[in-house]
Amino acid sequence: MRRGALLLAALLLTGCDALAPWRGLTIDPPRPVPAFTFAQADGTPFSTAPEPGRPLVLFFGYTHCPDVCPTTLADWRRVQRQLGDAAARVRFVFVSVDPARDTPAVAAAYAARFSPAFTGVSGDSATTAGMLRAFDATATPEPTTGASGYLVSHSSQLFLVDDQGRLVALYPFGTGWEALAADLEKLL
Amino acid sequence: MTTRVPAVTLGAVLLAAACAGDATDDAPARGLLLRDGWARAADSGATGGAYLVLENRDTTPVSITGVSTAAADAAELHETMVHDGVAHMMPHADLAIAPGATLAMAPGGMHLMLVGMRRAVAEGDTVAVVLQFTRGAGAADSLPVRLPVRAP
Repeated sequence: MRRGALLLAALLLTGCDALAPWRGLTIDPPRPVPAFTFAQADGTPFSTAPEPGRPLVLFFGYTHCPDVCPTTLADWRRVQRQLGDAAARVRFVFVSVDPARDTPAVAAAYAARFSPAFTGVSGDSATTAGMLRAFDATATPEPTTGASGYLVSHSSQLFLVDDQGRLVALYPFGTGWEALAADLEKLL
Repeated sequence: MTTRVPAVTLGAVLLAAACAGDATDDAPARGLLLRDGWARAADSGATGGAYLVLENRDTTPVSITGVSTAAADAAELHETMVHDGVAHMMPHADLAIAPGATLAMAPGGMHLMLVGMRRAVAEGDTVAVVLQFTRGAGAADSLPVRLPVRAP
């Protein structure tokens, strides 16, 4: 009985390995996602269009967010350190879902606060909505009686897009940063 | 019945707050123990966050009824909840800590939201906050703590 259970567990593990090349949640088959372009404060555009050899790590958040967003970007810094020089090829992109308060300059400064290599963008509401739709993500302003005016409930997972512009894996909030680091090492 | 944290306890609490991360071996046997407190580095005008662990070593329940700080326009008790991948924040008007229980704030869970930082805070700085609380049916009391600032 016990041997049977062990065998079953081994088979399940093998099966998972075969089906899930990523430590994040595998998107199988990888799903092409459209590119989006954001105007930046310095006047230059930023595009999420694929770049050869450069995977894209994407997170939707907002700068008034005190917990989930800074925790996520702090984890990116850990990933960056783990990857060493190779981290320069990763495009870490924070997309604001609160364009009403986050100007492009505010979003860029917020991301740069964690690492100068992180890109923070904030688009017009149509771009934001289109990008959320493309990633099956959501963002909903929530009125609050607190001093912040309103909060934004938002999808909290990370998205990993390969250099072909295909979404390959998701990382729910709370997934250890080591999983993203390991998966990026495979891609780089 | 006194509603004040005994002076010796308060001293130990403040010491524990100043030395966040210290083991609690030297902590008082009774009272409200604070440990592992820290605030996140933040720019002026930005939203800040802070975390701490409160252990109620007393025989009466403690309720944290508010938090204030001169470092920000407002401070609120919040809890992050994630449902179906979507992160929400739930404000708490008060947080009860039963006798013997521990309230552990941590990234992704309970936290202090500091709205509108009045100045930038960076590693090496401290953020002073005052926790308002009641013990049992006692009168309101407060506990000043200084939280060391860590990288954002």
